[in-house]
Amino acid sequence: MKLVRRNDEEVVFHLTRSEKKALLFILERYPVLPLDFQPPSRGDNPGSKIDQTLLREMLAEQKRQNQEFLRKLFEQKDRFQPVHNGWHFKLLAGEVEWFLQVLNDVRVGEWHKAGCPDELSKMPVNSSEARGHAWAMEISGFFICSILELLNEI
Amino acid sequence: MPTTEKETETNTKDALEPGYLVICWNDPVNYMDYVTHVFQVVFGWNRQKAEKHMLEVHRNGKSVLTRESLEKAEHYVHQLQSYSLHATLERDSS
Repeated sequence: MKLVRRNDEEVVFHLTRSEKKALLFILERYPVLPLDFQPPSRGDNPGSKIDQTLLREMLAEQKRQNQEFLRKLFEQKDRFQPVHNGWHFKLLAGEVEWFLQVLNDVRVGEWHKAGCPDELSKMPVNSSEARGHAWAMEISGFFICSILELLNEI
Repeated sequence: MPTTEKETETNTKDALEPGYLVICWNDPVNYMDYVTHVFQVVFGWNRQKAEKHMLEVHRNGKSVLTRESLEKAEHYVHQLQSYSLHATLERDSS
């Protein structure tokens, strides 16, 4: 994954054919992380006015919007343009943060599905399903790190 | 009547004063650079401040990121959870 160009309107990345295939595989899994993965608050919170339901509903709505955004992204043919040795993948400037959220939902969600191991080196790989979780977690992590690194270089 | 006045005064005070802590908890799955980036985006912090809190999460298991009114604290927790960070809000009892 390389940065082709970045301006006020868009960011364009170069993906190899394998990277594009892996990225689509990751995005098709979204959403992975369940809404009840984390409580909005911990402890008894005596006298608290925290509206747990509201926070969960806000998160659910956010994920619905992300799914819709993802669906539209796949429909727009100019987002993936074939080039020599791969593809150019375009995100609009305001979509980068949204894209990072989607990728990290997959990463954390796959870790959660694997049983939330305390150490990532202990991710179970004793079945094809378990290996799938570990692989998806690693690949989504690769794209997260690449995007952050490429955008911070400028 | 005095009781009512006192309650009203307390409620008004609660509504006006920031009293909720936004806390981020450690986990083994989120990258340190990613957490730093999220703190910068959500709170508008510079990299140095964001890294300080990220390292606090990493070393101490959690970091209190800000103390706000309930509405603002809920907003921040929602933002952090949208990035799949483990964030909660607590009533500040201090």
